Amino acid sequence: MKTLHIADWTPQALSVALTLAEKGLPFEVEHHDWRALAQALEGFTATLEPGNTLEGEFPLLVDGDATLCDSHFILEYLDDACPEPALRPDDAYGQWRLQALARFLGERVAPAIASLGVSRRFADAPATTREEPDMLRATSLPRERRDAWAAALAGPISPHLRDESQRKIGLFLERIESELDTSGGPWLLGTRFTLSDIAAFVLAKPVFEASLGVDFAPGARAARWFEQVAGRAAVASVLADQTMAFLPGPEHARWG
Amino acid sequence: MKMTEKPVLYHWEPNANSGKPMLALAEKGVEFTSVYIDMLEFDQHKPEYLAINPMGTIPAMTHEGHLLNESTAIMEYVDARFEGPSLRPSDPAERWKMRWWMKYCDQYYAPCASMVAWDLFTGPRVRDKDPEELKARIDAIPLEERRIAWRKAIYGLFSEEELAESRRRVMEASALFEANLEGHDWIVGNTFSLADINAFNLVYILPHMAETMKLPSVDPVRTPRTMEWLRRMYQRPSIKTIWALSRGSMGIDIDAEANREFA
Ligand SMILES: N[C@@H](CCC(=O)N[C@@H](CS)C(=O)NCC(=O)O)C(=O)O
Repeated sequence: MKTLHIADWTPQALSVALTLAEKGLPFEVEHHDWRALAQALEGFTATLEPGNTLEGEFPLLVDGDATLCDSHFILEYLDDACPEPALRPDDAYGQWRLQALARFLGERVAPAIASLGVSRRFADAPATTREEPDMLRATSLPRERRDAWAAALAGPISPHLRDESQRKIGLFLERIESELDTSGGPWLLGTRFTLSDIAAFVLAKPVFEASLGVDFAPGARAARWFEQVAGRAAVASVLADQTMAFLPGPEHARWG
Repeated sequence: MKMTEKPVLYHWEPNANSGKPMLALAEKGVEFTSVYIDMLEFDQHKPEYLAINPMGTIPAMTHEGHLLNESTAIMEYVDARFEGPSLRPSDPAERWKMRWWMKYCDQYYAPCASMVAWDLFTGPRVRDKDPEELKARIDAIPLEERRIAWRKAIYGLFSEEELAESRRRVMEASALFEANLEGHDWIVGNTFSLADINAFNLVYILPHMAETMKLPSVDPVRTPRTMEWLRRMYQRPSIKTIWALSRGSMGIDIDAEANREFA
């Protein structure tokens, strides 16, 4: 049995659940309180990666002996380990497109969505949620992760970071349009529904549903793609039970 | 797999992002047409090159009518598309680990080492060109992120704080990298993979930066396993193949490195 460890249904946690559901793979979910997240991570120190992953502390997928982190690589792992139905293109060029897009989503888009989402979530959170969560003191977390948490809990993001996040989301919407244009649709990489659709969908969701406190105007083609993903049976069944929430995500690239 | 045309690779020195597909192609035994792009002459932002790769970054590869950029994704393409020894483990969890380490290198370890090197090496190397020409060259950079990086390097605008943070991260990352090599020869265990190729292109310069850039991250005392791993890498014939395409900017004697003795 696979166990998905999460601290809230972040976009990344949802992407793993969506992939498991698309593949029809049974799994359990274990929730960890984000306030005690450093403690929760202490259960995963047998390998070096979980405590050092750039994406944020969760999700983690435990599958037999393997503890896997970084959502896009979990998705690829699932497609490697359980190839049916295939969720990547069969050809090398299609796989390159999938990975180049994943890099863009993880490096440019995910930080922007997390910044805006977290700012909204914690900006006027009641003081109790801000009381000394343990990760701010946990020396087991890399310093930049503690800093990310401290910044999130300190209040709304700076105007500069807000502008930068909006700029990146603008690039994201253009990229969805251009991928659909290149592939001819209906999915991002063409006629096969792939991990790219899942990875982009979870980031597009708060943008399309205007839950980031910023208005964006997605193009018609992107809007149609979004509806089609949302309408898939596996996607709809996961989303019926879960609401997305934001936690400090990957940091914005410090070096182009 | 059907016979396929020769790819064209646009690259700078066998280092950082350029070195990744160069070394992957060499390991795979794939013949390719090499086009040297002189990064210090800003060849990567010239119209001829932007017509090929509008992102204005190196490396880029063209093959069968497609443009490929993003060095790590290009390496996976090379392994998937061409015949030759497999450069990705077949076990799914090992493949996951290969990808995890490549991202850690690409988005944490390498950019931090790079910032230090651009401040002390790349910036000073181009700084004394004509100021008007430099300004025009910066304005011609398509990606905003790269424009900012060049501006900071050329005019020495990295803040003390960001440089110190990058140095701290190089120290952290080199320690984690060392810890991961415990008990096995290669990053993913006992299988040589794209992760080793990726990391080599970033790590090999670090022992040489210890004194010149006062960054003592990788050396025989602090990171002995990493030094042994580097030597194993230098002993691979593929290194000779790609160094033949170098114009010497990295100043590395690969034979000496392959025969390095440790006390
Ligand atoms: N994510 C890209 C980054 C490419 C990149 O930034 N390459 C650097 C050289 S290592 C570059 O093009 N620098 C030249 C410039 O910024 O003008 C990749 O992995 O290929």
